[in-house]
Amino acid sequence: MMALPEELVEEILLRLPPEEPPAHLVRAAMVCKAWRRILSGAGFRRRYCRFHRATPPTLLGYVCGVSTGPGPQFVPTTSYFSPPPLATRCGYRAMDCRHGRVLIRDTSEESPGFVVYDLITGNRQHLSLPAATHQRTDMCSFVGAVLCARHHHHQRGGCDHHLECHGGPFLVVSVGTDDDAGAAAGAEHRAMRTCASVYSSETGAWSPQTHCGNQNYYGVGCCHEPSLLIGDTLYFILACDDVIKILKYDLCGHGLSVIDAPQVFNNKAVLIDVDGGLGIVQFDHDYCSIYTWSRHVDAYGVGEWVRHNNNVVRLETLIPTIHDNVQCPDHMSIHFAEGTSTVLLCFNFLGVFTLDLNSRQLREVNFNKTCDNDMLPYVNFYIPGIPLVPFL
Amino acid sequence: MASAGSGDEKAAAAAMITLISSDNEKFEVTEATATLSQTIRHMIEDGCTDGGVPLPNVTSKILARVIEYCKKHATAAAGEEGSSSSFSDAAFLEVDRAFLEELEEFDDAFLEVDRATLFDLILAANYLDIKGLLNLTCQKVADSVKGKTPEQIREMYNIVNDLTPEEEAEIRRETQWAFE
Repeated sequence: MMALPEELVEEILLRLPPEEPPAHLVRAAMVCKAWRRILSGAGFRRRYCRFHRATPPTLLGYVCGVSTGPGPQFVPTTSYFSPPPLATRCGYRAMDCRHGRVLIRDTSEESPGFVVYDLITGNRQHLSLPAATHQRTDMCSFVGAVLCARHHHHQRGGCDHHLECHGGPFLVVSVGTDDDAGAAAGAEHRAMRTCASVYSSETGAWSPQTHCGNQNYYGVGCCHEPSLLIGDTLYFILACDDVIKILKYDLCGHGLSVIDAPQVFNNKAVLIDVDGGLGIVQFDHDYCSIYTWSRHVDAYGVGEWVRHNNNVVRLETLIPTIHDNVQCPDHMSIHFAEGTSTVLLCFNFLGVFTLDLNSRQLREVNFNKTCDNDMLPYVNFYIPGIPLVPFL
Repeated sequence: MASAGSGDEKAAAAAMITLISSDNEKFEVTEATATLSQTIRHMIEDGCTDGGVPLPNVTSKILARVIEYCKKHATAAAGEEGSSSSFSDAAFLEVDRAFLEELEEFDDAFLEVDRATLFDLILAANYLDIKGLLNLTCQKVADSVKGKTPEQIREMYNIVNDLTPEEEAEIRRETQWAFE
């Protein structure tokens, strides 16, 4: 092998298949100094990413302790990925999880704001709340989303695994709902107002707020569901009692709008990406079944929801004891692992399961029978393995 | 017009190029075969192939193998161009598939060489800038490394382990899971 110049050895190492865990790359790095140097060299990671672009993301675990308890914790769903423990504390509430980062809301009185936590490096950054949010004490609820600041570039034909952006700049989107004080005075129906603001780690500042009217009582953040990112659009669930609507935030134009949702119960439905379009996965407690919906938009921009009745997953055939254990709808929750076709199903007395919506394969990942209903799935955002090799 | 056009193409396809190996052996190949190499293509475009193309980095043994590869794949490339006009013809697709299978078999047999020859082919593919051949040969080596322990890899390719015990221990410690 020494007969080959390093650039050709690199050509060979580029062709080692990506895998979880990246044992091929680690073993190759242990062969000799030259190989280790090539693998850890500037640009290998980027070239390896380009070479194996089609590798699909996989679920690596989830963050639990989202809304209650002593603070967020990471629970791995694979045997090979266990990041350093989250430096967590009381008053930390995990809100969103994307591109290797966890967005945590610090609800403490001393330092209210957001914490952006890099799960792989353990780095964290504290952000203050957007000024307007800070001043308004009547803010009913707010949610947030975190994403790589290079996401736009990746969308335009770059590397969609966010490999190059690891540890790089990020965006935080804060969305809040409050009473529109002016409109509320004397009005028969109280109006709600939803506003959004974006923080950029590059400028270190929050953008001016974007508003949208929001009739009735639909509020964000009642269901502790993370956002869904499809292309350049973030979607959030708005809930009013048990009924939901969907809030759409356009990252390019900063426009906020509200989309109708089908009649599905809050907490028993989750937004999903169906081939690049908006969809919903719904748990129907009466039939212990999982339904999928997708939204179709016609040439005039009018959207329509379609339930895929031929694609129902009957859980009792997969978990025979489900009826005995899940007697009340509140005993379960459902979560979507963005970028994959996997949903996480959490049953209070049964444990946590992953369900692949395409293959319908069900796998138990956590035997903890009394688990927390709120969780954020954590998906790898890179070529399998690379950032897991510390010296690469 | 059409017949005149195809006549010109035939004339171009029949143009011969002489390649000269490092040990001074001469190989006559068609331009279609030679231009699978980007390096030779550029030489032809620059009009500097009269009197033969000297390839001081490639021995006659390796050049013969490279030409064998190029001949086979040049036919494949010509076949692809021809089939694009009748892609809807199921019978034609059937023929195409059979040809692709044959090409795959050819590639597999082509790679049945000793390691020294494989490395020489990689060097030649890189020097002559033949993308398909470089990919094929590098993938072959990568496949042979896949799943082997560092010790087995070193043995297979005569590599000296120059990592210090400390460096080795460090990698091992950081990546324990990969060896469990």
